[in-house]
Amino acid sequence: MSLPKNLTKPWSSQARLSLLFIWAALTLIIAFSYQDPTMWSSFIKLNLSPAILITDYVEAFGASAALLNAAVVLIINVLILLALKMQLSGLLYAAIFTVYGFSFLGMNTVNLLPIYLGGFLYAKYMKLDFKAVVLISIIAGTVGPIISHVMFGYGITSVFTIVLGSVVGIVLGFLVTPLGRHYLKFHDGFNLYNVGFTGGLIAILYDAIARRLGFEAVRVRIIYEQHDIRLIILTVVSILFFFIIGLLFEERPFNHLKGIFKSSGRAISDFVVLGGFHATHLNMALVGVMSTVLVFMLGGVLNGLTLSGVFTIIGFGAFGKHPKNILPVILGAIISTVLTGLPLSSTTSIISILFATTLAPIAGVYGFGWGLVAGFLHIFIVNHVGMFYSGLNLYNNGFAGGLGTGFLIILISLVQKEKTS
Amino acid sequence: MKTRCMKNIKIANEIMSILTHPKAGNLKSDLRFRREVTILTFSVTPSPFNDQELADLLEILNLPRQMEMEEYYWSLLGESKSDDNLHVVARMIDDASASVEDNTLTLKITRKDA
Repeated sequence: MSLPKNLTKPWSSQARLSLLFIWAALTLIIAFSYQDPTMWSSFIKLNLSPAILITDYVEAFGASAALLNAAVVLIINVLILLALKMQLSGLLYAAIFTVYGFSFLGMNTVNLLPIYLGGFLYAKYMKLDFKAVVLISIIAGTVGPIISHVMFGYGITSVFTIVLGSVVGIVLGFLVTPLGRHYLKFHDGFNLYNVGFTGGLIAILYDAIARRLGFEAVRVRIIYEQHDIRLIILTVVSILFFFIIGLLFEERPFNHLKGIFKSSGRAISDFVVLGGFHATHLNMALVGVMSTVLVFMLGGVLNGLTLSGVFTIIGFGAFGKHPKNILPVILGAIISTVLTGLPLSSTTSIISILFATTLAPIAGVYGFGWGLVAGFLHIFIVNHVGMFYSGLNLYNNGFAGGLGTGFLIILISLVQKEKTS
Repeated sequence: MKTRCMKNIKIANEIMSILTHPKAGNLKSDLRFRREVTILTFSVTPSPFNDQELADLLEILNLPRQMEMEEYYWSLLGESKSDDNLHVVARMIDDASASVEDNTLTLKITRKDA
């Protein structure tokens, strides 16, 4: 069947990027459907909160305010990318979806904008176009709690703490690209959430200094533990939306999935380039279905934490993750959780299992068995590292993934050398 | 300037890793730094690739250049012999072409300054 000419005409990057406004509109519609009279005041409180891990915005400020925050963050980011006339890439989708997901768990406009400004200043300092670093600046929201905590976390909020927090954010935004680039070498690109690894090291340093000066950050545990039908609708309709984009105006979109499934997932695995725009959306929908089904199979709920996990996986469905390379890691993480006696249905276990997929490239490069080992090891590490930085790094699993991978790739290379010889 | 040189050296390092093979008798590299462009030429005898492998290599290397990838991921180059690193090289260069003559493969890479 041939398609009408006007439908086969390729869309511009800007038009394709603008499709994300439909998703933002969906998020806003669901937010307003709660008819929550406190939504706007809760949204302001959310933006003026310390945002330390684990603060599930759905529980702390209500689902409507959390959804409003996610929509606002999404719209601001898409507008920035449109203004910069960004080329579509897998990293762009990974950045947008990660920041959307974590807008239910610690990110907000107040703690993101100073980081972007820092990234902009870094680009100017290096005589680069801001385009060259903006995606990393967006993902760098992992250090958002440091900024929010300086501003609002010590019970003495004033103009001084807000200015100080902004300056800290600008400095971190400035540093995150060169630091992240350096730390990539530690795990050789096998940890997809490298900014989380970088953020963890930054947060350890910050926490050490703050503690010494008597400003201790205290971890919290605020988690929404009930089923909310509207959050389920948001997830299902979002996945359906990405699936439809994948199918639209493409005669054989599934054929291009082969190119994606062949990829190891190791940086740089840009599925928009390898499989095309439509197949990438199909893959994003596939990994989205897998992760959402997993949440329910394990007996969990869709709350701020699991939403951050599901949407981050969907985003990295354009940049490194596909069903073949995430499955072994997920299985390894589940086995580890069961054997160590952790409750499978608890939200913290489920997000550790979901985010273990940061190690998908290990399965992609070294095979199913090593993927299983990576997932297994990840659960031990991730349950231990949060204490290093008092919940000040949002991508806890990215930090744990970096540590585990740095060890594992050396072990694998030694074992493979033995086998070869 | 230093970063520009480092990036070119890393690209050369990665390409030489790919071209080096047990039967390689002769491998030459030539880096020419011009005002706004660097041309990297490599020749290896005998050629390590058959026609299909060479076509696959060129297909990867001619993937579109992406500045937002280059700035963050270029440090990965030269760290391993994995084929995945060719994707990093591809995001940093503008053109790659190859020819085979008398069993000598010549690979020419063009990289414009951003």
